[in-house]
Parts: sequence; C-alpha cells; structure tokens
Amino acid sequence: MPWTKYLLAFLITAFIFATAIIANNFFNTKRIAEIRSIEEGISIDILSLETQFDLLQEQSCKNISEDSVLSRELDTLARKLSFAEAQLGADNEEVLRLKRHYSLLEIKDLLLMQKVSEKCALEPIFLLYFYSNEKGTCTDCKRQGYVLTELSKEYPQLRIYSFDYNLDLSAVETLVSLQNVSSDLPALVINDSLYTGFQSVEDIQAILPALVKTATSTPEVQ
Amino acid sequence: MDITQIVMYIVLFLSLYFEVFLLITFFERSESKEHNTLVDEDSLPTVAVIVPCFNEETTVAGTLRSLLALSYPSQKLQIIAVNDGSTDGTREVLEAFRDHEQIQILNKENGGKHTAMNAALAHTQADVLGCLDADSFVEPDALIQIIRHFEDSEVAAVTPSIKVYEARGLIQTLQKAEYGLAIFVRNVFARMDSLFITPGPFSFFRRSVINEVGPWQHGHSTEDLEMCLRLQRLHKKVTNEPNAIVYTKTPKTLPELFKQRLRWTYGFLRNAVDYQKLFLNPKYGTLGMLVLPMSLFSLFGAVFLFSALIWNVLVLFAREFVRFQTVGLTAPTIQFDMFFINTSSILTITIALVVLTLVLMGLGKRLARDSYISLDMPIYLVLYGFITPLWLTAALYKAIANTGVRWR
Repeated sequence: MPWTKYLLAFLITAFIFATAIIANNFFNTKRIAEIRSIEEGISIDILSLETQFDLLQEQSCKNISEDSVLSRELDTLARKLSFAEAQLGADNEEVLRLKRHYSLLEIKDLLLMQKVSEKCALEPIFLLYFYSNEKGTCTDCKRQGYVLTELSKEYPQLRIYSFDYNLDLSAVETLVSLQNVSSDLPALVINDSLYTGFQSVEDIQAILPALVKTATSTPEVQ
Repeated sequence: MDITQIVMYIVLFLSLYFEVFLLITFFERSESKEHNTLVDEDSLPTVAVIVPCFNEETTVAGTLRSLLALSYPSQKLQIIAVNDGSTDGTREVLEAFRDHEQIQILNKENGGKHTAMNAALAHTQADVLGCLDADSFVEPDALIQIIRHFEDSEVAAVTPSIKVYEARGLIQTLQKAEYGLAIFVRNVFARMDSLFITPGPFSFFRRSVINEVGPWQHGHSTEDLEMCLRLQRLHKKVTNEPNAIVYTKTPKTLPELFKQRLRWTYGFLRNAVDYQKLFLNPKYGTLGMLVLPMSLFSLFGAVFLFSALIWNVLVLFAREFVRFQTVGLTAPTIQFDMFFINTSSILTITIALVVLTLVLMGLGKRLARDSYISLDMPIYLVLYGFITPLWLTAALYKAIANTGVRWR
C-alpha cells in the first residue's frame, strides 16, 4: 500500500481546505472592520452635524438638503451589513453588535433629520420599516424589502429606516412601543401613521400622493 | 454549522482528496514508455476481435471496415461478427462481408452481449481476444498499441482510450468532455493496478486467462464491468494504453443517455454487491482501499452535490420570481465592490474541485492526442450537474429494489 501517497494527498487536500477556511475568516474579519469603520464615520458625521446645527441653528440650513450624505452612507452600510449577515450568519455576535450600532445610528439620523426638517422647513418623508428575520414570523418581509428597495431607488427624498423587530436593543424596543408596532409584521410607519401587513409599491404611492407628484415633477434627480 | 454543511464539507473533502490522489499518481509515474511500433511480425500473437451485433445495421459495416484497416498482419487477425438475433437488416449487412477471409460471421438467437462473446469464443483459438462494439471504430494503430502490452506475461487484459465519435449537439458534446476525463481516470487507475472496467469498445484479454477465469457473464447487463472485477478478484493485471484510440457512437438524446447511464450505474451497484469482498480489503491494494469505495461513494456524493446545486439554483430562481411578482422587472444596480465578493469556504473549495477536474480532463485529452482545452469542457461543467442526478437516483432506487435494467 502506498501509504506515503495516501498521506501526501491528505496533506494537500487538508492544505486546500485550511487555505479556503483561513482566507474566508480573513476576508470576514476585514468586512467586519470595514463595517465598523463606516459606522464610526457615520457616528462622527451625525455628531458633527448635530453640533454644527446646535451651534448655528437656522443658519446651517443652507448646508442641509433632504438627500443628505448621511442617508446614502447609511444605505451602503445597510447593504454591507446584510451581506455580512448572510456570510456569517444572523446569530453571529459581531454581526449582532454591528446591527445594534447600525440601528442606533438610524434612530440618531431620524431624530436629527426630524429636527432639521422642522427648523429648515424641509419636507422629507420618513418611512420606518419593522421586519423580522426569524423563520415563520414574517412571511412577507422579503417582498416588503423588495418594494422598499425599489421605492428608495425611485424616490430619493424618501428616508427609509429599517429595524429588526427582534433585535435586543432598548432604543429599538422604545421606538416599537412609541409607534405601537405589534408583532404582526411587516409594519410600516409612514409619517407617523402605522400600516400593518404587506404594502405594495402602489399602496405606498396611494398613501403618499406627494411622493408620486414630486417624482414626476422632478424628471432627473442629480 | 448545520448537518447539510457538515455533509457538504465531507463530500467535498473526499472528492478533492480522490482527485489529488489521482493527480499525484499521474505525475509520480508520468514517464510514458515510448514503445517501438515496428515490432517483429513473427513474434506477434494471433488476435481475434469479436463484434457482437444486435440491430446495428447502420454502423456495423463501418466497424468492420475500421477493423480491416488495422495495421496488423492479416494472417494473425481474425474478426468474428456475431449477429445476436438482430431484427433489423444487420444480418444482410454482415452477409456482404462473408467472403472476406479475415471475417467470420455467426448467427444466433438473441441472448445478450455476453452470449455473443461466448459464442465467438468457441470459434477461435487466438492467443488474444478482444471485443469491439458494433457502434465503434478504431484508429489503424490501435491494435498494435494494445498488443505490445501482452509482451509482459503478467498482463491479462488491456483497455484503450475511448473518444466520442463525431460529437454533435449538446448531449454528445457533454459526453465528449466526460470521455476525456474517463481517459485520464482509466489511465491513472491502470497505473495503480485498479482498473475495474474493461470497456466493450476494444478491450483485449489473454486467451489463457479467459480459459482460467471463465467466459463472459450477464453481470447485471454490464458484462465488461463484471469481467474486470473477476480478473481483479484473482489478482490479474489489467492495464491501459492511452494511445490506442477507439471512437464510439454515443447517445444523442437525453432519454437515450439516461437509459445507458442507468444501465451502467445499476450494473456497478449490483456488481459492487456481488464483489463486496474487494471493498475496503487491503489484499486488493489501492483498488480495494480507495478506488472502489470512492467510486461507490462518488455516486452518493454526486447525488448530494448536484442536488445541492439544483436546490440553490431553484432558490435563486424562486427569489427572483418573487421579486418580479412584487416589483416587476427592475434594472439591476451594477457597482463593483470587493466587499461583496463571496469568499465562503464551501464556494472556494468547490471552485478548487472544479479547477482540478478541468486539469484532469485536459490531461486526459492530451493523453489521447487531443488539445488540452476545448469548448466541451466548460459546457460539461455547467450542465452535467443538472442531468447526472436523473440516472444516479434512478439507478440507486433500482439497485436497492433489484428491478434489473434493459439494454435497450
């Protein structure tokens, strides 16, 4: 029996396996680091904007538009976080920690933008989306996600904030209770009104006629 | 990690291990012996090529003509065409060759390929016996390439390299790549004394060995597999000559291919039961410890891997369908970001396995004097996984239920 060959083949196969696993771990660590760095960046940006706004009050309005850089960054962060969640698993501690941080940043951005729009007479549309990734708890959440992705592409003035209903974070729990969101998911809060169950693109357009109007009257958003 | 992932890792590890083992063996003894084909005619053994025919009216004439064109002394080459109760015009086609002094024609009632082989056996005293299916054709130097192996008195049987004859259409293109891989695998198995099939197209046997081990048997419709396993059980040496090129007609349609592969796989499983003593038996070396167990395992592994592949594709389609139903056709957002490249270890290992399979396939093609790379290889890799589970699962079921399979 050519035992040396059996052993050599085993070592080569084990090497290929180990390389694949180590490389995957390496890239996942890099991903986590990248997400963390984006979160830190956003965190600083929010703080800076808050501070700037507090300092200058109304005068700072000229620097702020409905489609602020922040929301775009939050969107990138959301996509990266959701990819990391798929790669590492929804139960991964690091992913959960980043997700909690992300939800906090969303709430901070929401509060800041509410304050800004009030003072600067802006009219952004706030859409809060509560979903669940737990099996069997929200059969329509995937479809609702597609609808919101599509809407966010079409209407940049729409500010969508999505929250994992089951995320163990007191700030999200407070938001859930403030908005009276039940476990009947998906749930949408559009400009302070709660809508439970799946809402199609047309449903949301019907709720927000202003949205359609703005979109058609602004053919090319830069 | 869930159970599916664990099974996936085990299947991938064993598959990769086997391919690495084959590659090491190939490079370990890659020095190909350049044989001198200008051999002394007087020392050549007498050879009988048996051509069993059952309803082969369209191809058998070409088969016989390719045999007559073999560069082998005519006085030492006997061709025995056996009409195994054909119901088409095979008999008339064969009769046209009756006057040829090298060709002998036998007519018998239909009884299956093994009975045709055995009928011919009684009509020859040749030193070496071979078979050529009536849908196959040989290169002129194929026989001489094979016969020189019999100079080694240890050699009991020699197998050739089999290529697809005039591959047309998708199904035959797939098989072209698959046969390239088989050429490599057969050659490496031979280097490890682990061949377990002496294929119908142009395998040759030493007459004295056939006398010793007995005639061909039904072998669950795979007499070529049964004969080789029988030789291996008795520790007879079976080798391979990659330069002996045989072309065979292959199924053109999916149902035809399904039928053929069902027979092959069913035959392997049933013979595996009959010859179970060879499995995991150190007395049979690499054949017993690695090649036979891995060949058996690969059937289950392939069903698992291919089912996982089909499942993933279905999930993807279902997701896109739901998206389409929900928001209609949407333009995809195309933006490149390294972040989103899938680096999962299962995917990376699968890619390594695919690349290695391509390498083995390329080496097989090179062994049989083709170029390393051809278009059929990527087509094979993309599509083969979707059709293989059809016959693998059907054969597993039939083998367990012991239902038997039909030749045609």
